[in-house]
Amino acid sequence: MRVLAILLAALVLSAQAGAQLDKDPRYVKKRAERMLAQFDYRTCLGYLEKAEKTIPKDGEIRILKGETLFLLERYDEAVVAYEAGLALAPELRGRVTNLPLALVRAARLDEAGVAAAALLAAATDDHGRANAQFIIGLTAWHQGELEVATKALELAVGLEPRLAKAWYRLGLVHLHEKRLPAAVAAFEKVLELDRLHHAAAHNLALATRRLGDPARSRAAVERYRAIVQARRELTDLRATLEQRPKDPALLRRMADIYFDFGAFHEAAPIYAAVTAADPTDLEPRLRFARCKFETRDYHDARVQTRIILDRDPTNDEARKIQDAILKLIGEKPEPESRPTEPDDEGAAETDGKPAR
Amino acid sequence: MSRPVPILLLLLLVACGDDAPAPTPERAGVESGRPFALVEVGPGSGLDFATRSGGPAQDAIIEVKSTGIGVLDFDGDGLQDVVLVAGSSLERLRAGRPGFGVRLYRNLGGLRFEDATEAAGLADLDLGWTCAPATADIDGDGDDDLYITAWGRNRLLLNEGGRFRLIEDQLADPGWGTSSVFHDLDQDGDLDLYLCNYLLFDPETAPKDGDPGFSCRWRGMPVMCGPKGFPPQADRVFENLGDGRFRDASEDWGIASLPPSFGLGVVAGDFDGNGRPELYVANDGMPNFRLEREPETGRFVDRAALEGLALSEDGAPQAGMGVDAVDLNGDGFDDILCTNFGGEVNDLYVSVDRDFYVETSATSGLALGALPMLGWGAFLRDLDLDGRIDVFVANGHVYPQAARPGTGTDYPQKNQLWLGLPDGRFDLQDERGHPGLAVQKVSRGALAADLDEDGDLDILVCNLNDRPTLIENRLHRKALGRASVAIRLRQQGRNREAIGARVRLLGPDDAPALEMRRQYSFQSSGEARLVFGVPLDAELEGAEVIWPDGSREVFAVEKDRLNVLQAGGGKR
Repeated sequence: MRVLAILLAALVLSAQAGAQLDKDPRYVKKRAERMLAQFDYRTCLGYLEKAEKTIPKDGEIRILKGETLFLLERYDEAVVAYEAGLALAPELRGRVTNLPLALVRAARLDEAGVAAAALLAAATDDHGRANAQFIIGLTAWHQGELEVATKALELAVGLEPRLAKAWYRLGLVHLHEKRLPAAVAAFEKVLELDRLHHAAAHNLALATRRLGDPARSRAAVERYRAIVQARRELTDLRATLEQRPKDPALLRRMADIYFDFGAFHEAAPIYAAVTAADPTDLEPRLRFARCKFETRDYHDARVQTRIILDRDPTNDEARKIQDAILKLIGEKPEPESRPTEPDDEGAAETDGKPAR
Repeated sequence: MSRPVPILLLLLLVACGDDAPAPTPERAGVESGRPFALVEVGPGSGLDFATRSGGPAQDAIIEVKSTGIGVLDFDGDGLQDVVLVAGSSLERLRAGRPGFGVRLYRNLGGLRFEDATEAAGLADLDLGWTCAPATADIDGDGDDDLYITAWGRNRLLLNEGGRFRLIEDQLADPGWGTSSVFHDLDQDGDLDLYLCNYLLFDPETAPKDGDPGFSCRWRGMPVMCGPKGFPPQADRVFENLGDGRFRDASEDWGIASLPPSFGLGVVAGDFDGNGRPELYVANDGMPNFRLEREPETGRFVDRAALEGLALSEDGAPQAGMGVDAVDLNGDGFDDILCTNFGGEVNDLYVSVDRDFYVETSATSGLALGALPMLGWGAFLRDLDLDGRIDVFVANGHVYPQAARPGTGTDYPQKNQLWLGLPDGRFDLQDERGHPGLAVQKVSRGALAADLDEDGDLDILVCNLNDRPTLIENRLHRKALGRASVAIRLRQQGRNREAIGARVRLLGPDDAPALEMRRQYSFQSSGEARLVFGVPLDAELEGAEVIWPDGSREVFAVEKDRLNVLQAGGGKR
């Protein structure tokens, strides 16, 4: 009986502590964000609906609710939540990029245009301004205003040249306006930024065919097919990883797919996990180093090549990467063999650092 | 198989210039205070057959789409009668009981119908798990015949003086037939058949959510499985041999070489104006086909991927359901509409040039309003007679779970109408202007036909486990300053209604060219009548007809009349 009473008391205390935590806005937001990251939108929505009653004055919670409703494709309700959040915390307007997008998806295009202009005015950096211009372009696209769309999207890619979604939409506008060389250039740019963008490959094939370049068109078709196959495999791998989250073979295959497409940003963190699981396997480590090199994270690339060369001084690929780094940073190439002093075995620690 | 057709004969005589046709009466929408309104007719129409398929749970894919609709003049009185096709249920199937069957309604005029199933000889037939009708004068004897697709053997029913006779050994493909189209595909003067097949379904082995390798979830909820995970079935094509027999020409004509796909919708026509028939096939979750017959080999080849017609704008296969085609931008090439799943847009492929299409649903204003809807039957017609093509889409989800709160959509859905605008875009209408759009059911097939002979196109929609929706087009032509020009075609030979002929009005510059077709949309079959909208005061120079054999003639036509144009009776 005493044990039962203690257990009951513990349960009550734990529930009380949980209830207390659920009144802490920071805790609520973190928990909700975790649910969103796990794609558990419905639970998240229920949780936030409760939270907005206990913490009624917190704008961020309303905005998070808006994000959740947006992900649930309940766009009109998302707009209401975003606007309620912004009424409480107007300083967050520059961060609520999905408000005008929700208005677009709800077919409220005039309001979307106004919201996108407000987003542009509130943006504090080029990335924010580029995103706002992208939404202005997207709104104009849906309104059939292709000249306005062209201008806004050109401004977007001018402000943020790595904004693949703006390049893609610009390519579509060019394609509709029969500006085929410009469309081809835009779709090629998308594929440079996002190697697995099947839609860009598809439209590149169409545009090059129309331009009378069948060889290029065939190449784009092949690329499209390969991307579709890779994406299908990645989807399957992700589903399997949900059952076996740390399976190194699955992770390795996933990283290899990204790597083979030159999607180094995507491949790098997965190779980090693979090398952490088996630090002795130099092949994924070499690919990891290559990813770091290609994404200009020379410090981490150098760390990885050192580890490889310490273990295998004859590894030409690793040496080439290392020499290229040294050339880029203006140091002399290192001698063929160095004392083996790996102080940085784990790959995972080096991942995620900003490029240097 | 022939039977008296007094009204038709009268019209033919009229078309030959012996008499003036009677003007089509006008049933205006003045009651609603608008010169153009779509209004539901309701149960008073007499169309009271609920096209049932499966039960409320809808937990097998066979249940969710087995319902179809068509119009035909089975009794030769000049009015369009209605045929409704229902499916069956797994319980009935296991008990060895017949399917829910077919119901035929005689058009009494004034949008009233009476059940004529028995009189037409269709009452006692066990046709199995039926799916959809295709109506046409298949044997060229002057009356409308009936072809019914099914999960199991499809059935050909020939009209013999207003009663149908089952032809056991012709066109009896055993797959899961969905939509089909009769068209002169080999240009030998008779109507061949292209048949969409869906998938290989076995009720005893069909996968369910949780079976090994099967996770059938939608928005986190377990739902019926498919089509993914089922083997797709190859489409078939049958050549009309001209003597009442058909032969399976799938191998010879290249259809057997196409990848088996989940075929749901098909439309045939000379889309690119090269004088040869083509086919556009909507496949569910797989690339669509645009099939063109090579003159050298007689084989159909799929050109959809090359021309931008296979996939969505974003390069993804979509859940293609219903299709229609018409030249929207007046460049001489038909543009193509294809309806899709909820969360996907209904694709509108518009020709930029010969053999090159871009998907314009977003820029034309069709995309966003369609996103929450799951589109099925659809057509491109000028409903308000303003000279611009409008878009109608019948909607309804496949998962009853869509009715649960928080899905962002619903199981029964409203149908949608977009009116064509002068700038080539479309404007979504709602029930405030058109009470008929307030009807919310689980809709599937849809077609446009002038059911009350008043010169404009009414709408028929079939609904799963419910009665059909009949929508009257109440159009006050004079108030709108518009008139209609309705045209039927007649020619000698076995393609009597000149399916595949193309008609263009001479004089008004805003009416698009239209091609004579009876099958389009999803599991639907329409009438062989073209309706053009022209200005009330337009000086009509005539109608140019390009007959299926490629010959051209110009006929005098009159406004607000049904003009029956007989091949050989015009100016060459």
